[in-house]
Amino acid sequence: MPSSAPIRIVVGEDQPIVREGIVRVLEEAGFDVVGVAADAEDLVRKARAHRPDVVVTDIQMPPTSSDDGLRAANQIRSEQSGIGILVLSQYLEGRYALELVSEGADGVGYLLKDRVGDLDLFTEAVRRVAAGGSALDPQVVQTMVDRPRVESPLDELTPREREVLALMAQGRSNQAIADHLVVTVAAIERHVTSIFSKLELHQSPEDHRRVLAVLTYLDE
Amino acid sequence: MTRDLHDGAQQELLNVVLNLKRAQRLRPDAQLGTDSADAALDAAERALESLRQLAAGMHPAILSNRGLGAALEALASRMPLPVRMLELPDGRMPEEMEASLYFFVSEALTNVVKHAAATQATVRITSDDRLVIEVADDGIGGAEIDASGSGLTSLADRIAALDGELQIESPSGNGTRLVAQVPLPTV
Repeated sequence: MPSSAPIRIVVGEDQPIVREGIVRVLEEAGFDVVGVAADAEDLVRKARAHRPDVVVTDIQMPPTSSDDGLRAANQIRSEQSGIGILVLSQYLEGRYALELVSEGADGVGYLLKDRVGDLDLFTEAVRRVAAGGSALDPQVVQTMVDRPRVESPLDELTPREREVLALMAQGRSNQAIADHLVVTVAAIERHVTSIFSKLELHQSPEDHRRVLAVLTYLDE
Repeated sequence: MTRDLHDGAQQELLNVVLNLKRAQRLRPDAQLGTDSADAALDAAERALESLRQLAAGMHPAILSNRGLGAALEALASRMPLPVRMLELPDGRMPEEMEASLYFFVSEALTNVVKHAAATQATVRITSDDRLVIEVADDGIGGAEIDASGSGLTSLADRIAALDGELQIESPSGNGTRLVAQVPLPTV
């Protein structure tokens, strides 16, 4: 960690036990939790008041307990450009993640809720959205990649390329993918070029634009 | 019931997982009891995953949150064979109707997986003066409603409950096509 000020976070979660758990994990990882909210309206207020670097919120919150957290997150994002949003969800469906990134994948993340216990994955996601990157849940992405398809260009990808595709869709940079697969960045760049060529997608230099392109492709 | 699963069991179990993981982090070098803690964590995570799948299969939250079209897209992505959604409604319908049609399509696709030996299925929902729901596959055909209470009987019952009709075209060796027609929801 650089010696700069800790990342400031507002947490939205209606269940007290889980909220305490999330706050504890974040604080133990060195983040500064500056506010907590137990419903969507309070979350929007707290985000306005504290102007945090990142909002971490449950998707399902009062008042309607459907996807109020997601809607609050979108509102906060439209009010404060550059803020990071990390939505925690029990929903495996890619639909919500797609809605979240549809306005731009920069500074947004969507993780299954129990990832909060995976310290590395969770804190890395918080840092990534704080820095303007994207963090999509590996399992949500894998479900989208593995969906049965008829005669899809995805069938032409090698197993390694599918793996790289999924890691790209999670929002990882070439460097991060290379580290994860223990290969060189140059090797990943070759895979990426091949993937984009097989899927007939335009390559984008920015990771968050790449995320959007790949996820949109997987959704078709 | 789905709400109970989510607010009760899922949250409690999530809390168990978070605490077990925290315990692992705080005492990484404690050998004694580590194996059983690992096993407990594995079990809790598997249970959480089963609950998530169960909740999604029962009455998916996405159905009430986003409507029939989105719920069927999500259903298709969970099926073990390719299911193409050719046309789906964008708008919302009355809750009970969305649920009935969702389970109609869901059971129809389950039948395809179990009995049809198909390589793919398609779903199309259109409306003119009635709502038309079509589920087709390229499997072995030969499906018929019989008195023994097959899956098709329950499908026909669901459609009858909506004052609709179900037609079945299932020539032997030539796929099965279910066409349900139901009255449009009254606005």
